[in-house]
Amino acid sequence: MANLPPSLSIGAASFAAPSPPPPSPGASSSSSAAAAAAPGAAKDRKMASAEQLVLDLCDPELRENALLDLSKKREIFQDLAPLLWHSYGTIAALLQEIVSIYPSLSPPTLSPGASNRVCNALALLQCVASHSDTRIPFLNAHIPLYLYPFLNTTSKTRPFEYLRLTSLGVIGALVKVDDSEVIGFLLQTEIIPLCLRTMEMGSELSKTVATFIVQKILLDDVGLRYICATAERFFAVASVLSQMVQALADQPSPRLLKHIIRCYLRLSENSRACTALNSCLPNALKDGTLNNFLQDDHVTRRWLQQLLHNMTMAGMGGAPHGGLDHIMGM
Amino acid sequence: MIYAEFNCHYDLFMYYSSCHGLFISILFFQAYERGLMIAIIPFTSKILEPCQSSIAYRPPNPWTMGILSLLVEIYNLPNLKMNLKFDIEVLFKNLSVDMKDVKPSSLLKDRIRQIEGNPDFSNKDVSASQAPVVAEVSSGVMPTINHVEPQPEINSTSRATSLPNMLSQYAAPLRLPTNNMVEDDKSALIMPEQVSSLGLSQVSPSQTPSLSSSSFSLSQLIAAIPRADIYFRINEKLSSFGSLQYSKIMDMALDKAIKEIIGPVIQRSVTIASRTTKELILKDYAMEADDSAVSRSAHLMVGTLAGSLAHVTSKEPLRVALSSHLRSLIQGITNNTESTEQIMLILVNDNLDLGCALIETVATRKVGLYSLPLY
Repeated sequence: MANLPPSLSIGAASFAAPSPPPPSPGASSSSSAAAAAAPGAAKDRKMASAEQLVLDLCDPELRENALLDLSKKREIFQDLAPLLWHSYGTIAALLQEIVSIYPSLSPPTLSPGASNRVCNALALLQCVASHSDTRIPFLNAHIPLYLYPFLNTTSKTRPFEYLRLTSLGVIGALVKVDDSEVIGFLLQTEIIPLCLRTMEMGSELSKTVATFIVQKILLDDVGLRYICATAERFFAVASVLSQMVQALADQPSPRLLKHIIRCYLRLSENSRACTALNSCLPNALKDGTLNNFLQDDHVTRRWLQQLLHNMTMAGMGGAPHGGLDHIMGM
Repeated sequence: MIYAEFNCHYDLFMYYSSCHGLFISILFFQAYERGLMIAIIPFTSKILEPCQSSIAYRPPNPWTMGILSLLVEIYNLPNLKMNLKFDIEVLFKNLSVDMKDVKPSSLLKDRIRQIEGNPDFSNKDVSASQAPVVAEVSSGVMPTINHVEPQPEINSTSRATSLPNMLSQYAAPLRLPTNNMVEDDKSALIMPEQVSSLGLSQVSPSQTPSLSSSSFSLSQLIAAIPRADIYFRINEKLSSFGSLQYSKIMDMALDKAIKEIIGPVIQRSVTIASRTTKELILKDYAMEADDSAVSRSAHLMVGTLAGSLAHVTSKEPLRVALSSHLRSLIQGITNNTESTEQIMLILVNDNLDLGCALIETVATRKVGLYSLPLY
């Protein structure tokens, strides 16, 4: 794919008297007309419209339409993230979209239209969170913290569910690259209780993303030590994982089960946590109840076997079962 | 014989002078300090000029060379006037001594010379030393301007933002779902810990010195809230529970609840908003030369972000604290547990947003007191 032209250079004159941007429908029609002509020309026009849409984000009158168009095309533009981050006022406009719906979080009065609009803004922030050049500046500005109030909501209506899922998507994009700096930030800002809440009461999709985030945190050495540092933290995570396993009997989800088993396996690599798992690992994972979900998933089956093996080894060398219960304060 | 006699007299003069060599040195030091070298250098030049003809005192006589060393040191002083340099050069030429062959002395290094009105040196030195003073004055003026100007805008903006929000909230229909209470209690278990934890973890060492002044300012801000203008919503349903002083109860409970939770909420909101605003404003205004434009934008942004975060973050902790205080106050008046809960729920749901709006106002004003570390 062709690279975008150099970043927009907005001079002082542009601040004083910004030229009125052309209407989006016109741009769309010209873009679609050019598509019939030549593929190369179409790409150029799409690139040009990306810059124009980013400029439109600063104009409250044009912002909603620009948000919609950009979020649709975000996977086409490889370098959309640097364009968003380095252009004037764009990130501030996205933050404005986020804080403007805080009043409708409680009591829960978020409308589908408002939810869609802010989720388009969050989709653009997910691009910024994903890109290697903009991820760390995004984190340095503490922007994920403005999404935490969304994750703290409990309403089960569709607008709120969609809001939480999209917010989790931004966090998920941050943890995908296994950067210990990202994990450190998330631990310091108490993301885990928010993920656990979603794992308890979210939809299947939200649960899957939240569990994926917890999995990535556990896979980091600092994250694993953090969660296993106190019995309270460990059992908070273990009990939610256990609840999710029980719920799988009613709502099967191989994808979610895979993340759950990976979390358990990682926990078993910590000796104290592995010993504690002997008393709280769901029977469904031991007695083969869930084997039907794993018939075609050899990776997850190997994980489960490794998990059971780790626990067996810990059980042999560990203290008596009763004594263990006493030590862990159960 | 005449020549011999003259020469004898000069040597005699120099002999007497050398006995008082210290006198000449002291004379030079005083001249250097008081700006009188313009007199002493030509004088010395005339005295030493006949040395060339003297058998005893011609170079490399130690006494004569000592004076020449001092003259070389003077010659190398920065900004020495040209006429003095010229006199020294002529003297060396007349004595057939190359200045490069004479090692300069270091007798004047520790001596402080008078600067103002000193005729021995040119004006370059004086003008250079005055520049820092001018810079100091100009830098002193800017912070005052930056600090004073944005205040009114912030207040008007935050008030305008808060009022429609409060009105729209009150226009909403009254709702008392029982299930929400359970969920709210559940969420409350996590929120207070999260809030306080973030407050603690976000405090950096550089902020520690300002904590005491911060708490003082916080008390001032809370005291500044116009409580006389606060009007509590008292639902008509409450009249069926008896004629209680609901406004008074509400006022006491809200005051206690706000004081209980406002510290960590403000700390967290202001810290996060300041960090975000610093990063984004520095990025967006990297090419902006007008400091006041940068500062104005920064204050508007940080006020809005801090206020919004404080509002949304304080809602559940405030609900919990307010419920607790209301419950204890109402129980002191009525014995019916069931009616206590109903009264409490009505009062909380009707006035929670008012409490959050007050906290939002405090956060917005609070952040205005900080001087953002933008530079």
